[in-house]
Amino acid sequence: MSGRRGTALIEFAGSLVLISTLFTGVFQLGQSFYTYNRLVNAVRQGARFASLQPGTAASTGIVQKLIVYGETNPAPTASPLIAGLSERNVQVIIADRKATVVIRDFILSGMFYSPKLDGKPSVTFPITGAGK
Amino acid sequence: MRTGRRGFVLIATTIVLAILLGLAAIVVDAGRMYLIKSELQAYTDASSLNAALQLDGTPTGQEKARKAAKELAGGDHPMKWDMGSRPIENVQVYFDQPTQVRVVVAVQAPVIFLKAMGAIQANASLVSASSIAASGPPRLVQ
Repeated sequence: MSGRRGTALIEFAGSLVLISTLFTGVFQLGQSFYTYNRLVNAVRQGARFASLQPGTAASTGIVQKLIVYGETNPAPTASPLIAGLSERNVQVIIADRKATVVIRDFILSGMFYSPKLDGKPSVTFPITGAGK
Repeated sequence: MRTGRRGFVLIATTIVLAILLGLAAIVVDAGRMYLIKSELQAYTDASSLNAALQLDGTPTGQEKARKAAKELAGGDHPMKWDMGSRPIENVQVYFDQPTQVRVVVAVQAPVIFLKAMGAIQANASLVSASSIAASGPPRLVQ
């Protein structure tokens, strides 16, 4: 009787490993999509902000701060909106009457899969600031 | 009796796996589709502005605008979709008014689980984004 119960327990443990691995995998993948989505929106917002400054007046530092902290003048103690993102991960290019923001060397950390984002997401807006 | 118990664990695991697969379908595929929507929306927003800057009320301006609407999908830093992995193609450009441009991009999201479950029709994975921009002095666009 106790032997049978033990067998069931072992089988249950086996299936639990399988199921929890799957569950974690799905959770992680969802988390990656969510983080990437936030990155796309932050980069889009930053590029649009830069494109609203006249000519080449957009300041790289301010755009980087906006993307990382969500505001152009964050408190010194502010923490990034997206975990692990810092200003050196954000490349701002103002050239040819376009404002481009590209994410560089950012690791989208996950338990099983941690892709390195270099060159994406990338958003370009044409400069529409007055006085171009 | 032994085999009966073993069968129970198998059945229970199968049921839980089926539920998990459904969950995966929602989290992974729907999440991916939302992500693609964000990417496409960022593209059409930028692209429609880029196109509107070319509009001058003439057919030549419209031709330039058509070209400008596709410009941001190429170049050194192209905007892409599906976590930045696929190039944006099939950019549709419409001129509903002479000084207004509407850019539409639609793609079939590469869903896996939803398709495997047979839960969706072929075009239910269609993701599209659309933006309107106008040239000239600032005004409200309906």
